[in-house]
Amino acid sequence: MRRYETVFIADPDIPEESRLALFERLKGIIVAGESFFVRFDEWGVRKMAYEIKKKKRGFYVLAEYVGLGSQVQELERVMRIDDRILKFLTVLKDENAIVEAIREEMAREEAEKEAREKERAEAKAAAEARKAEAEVAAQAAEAGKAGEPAGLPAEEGEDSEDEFGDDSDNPDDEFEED
Amino acid sequence: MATRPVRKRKRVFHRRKVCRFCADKSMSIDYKETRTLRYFTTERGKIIPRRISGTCAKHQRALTTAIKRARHIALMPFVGSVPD
Repeated sequence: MRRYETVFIADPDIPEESRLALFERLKGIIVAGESFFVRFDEWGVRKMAYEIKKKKRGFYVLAEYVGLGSQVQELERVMRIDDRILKFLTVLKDENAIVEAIREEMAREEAEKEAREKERAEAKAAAEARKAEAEVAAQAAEAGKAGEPAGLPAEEGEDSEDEFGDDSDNPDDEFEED
Repeated sequence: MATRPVRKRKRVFHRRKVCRFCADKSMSIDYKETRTLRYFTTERGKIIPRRISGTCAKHQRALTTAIKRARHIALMPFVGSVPD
């Protein structure tokens, strides 16, 4: 088994259901026999570095899977025919993928993700509780006209996480161009 | 060879060049991480030569493929806009 990674750009202007149907079709090619998906990340609509088919934006999807070369061929053939796919790129990540190791890795990632989500949910709940509390306090203050200003509720929305996080230790730029 | 007018504005930069990827093992080269790759291209989108960036051969090779892949999937430009 080989581990591959395919990034493809879908047309951003097609309706949601059409896109989902397309993704299902593509997934169907991979999910067969022993092959399986490691991940199917939808990056969403992003600006592309250059126009493709007169479009400035594209719906990016990163699919990582373990399968056979013939499946990749089939997948690429379908993508070439379908004009809802603007472009794709397949990279071989591991020639001799050990299925067990990958499954383990997936389980670990899943657990991590769950933990993260739980944490976030808790944080959200805490924020909401604080907000409610502040509101109650504000109401009480209003009712009593105590003149004591209630603290503003700490607004805490879902912090959107950046896909590519972290590392930007600034490169005090080293390059000079002639 | 005719002698050209001496207009060599020699920039003297004494900068020790070290491969950024060797110095910082946590840095990875991945075509999806355009932020890292962007440091190794000019504003126009050209790949900066090793001679200038100081990247070691091994990493420069990896960098080149990564940048080319990123270009293919439209994460990075083949030709960037002209700066000014």
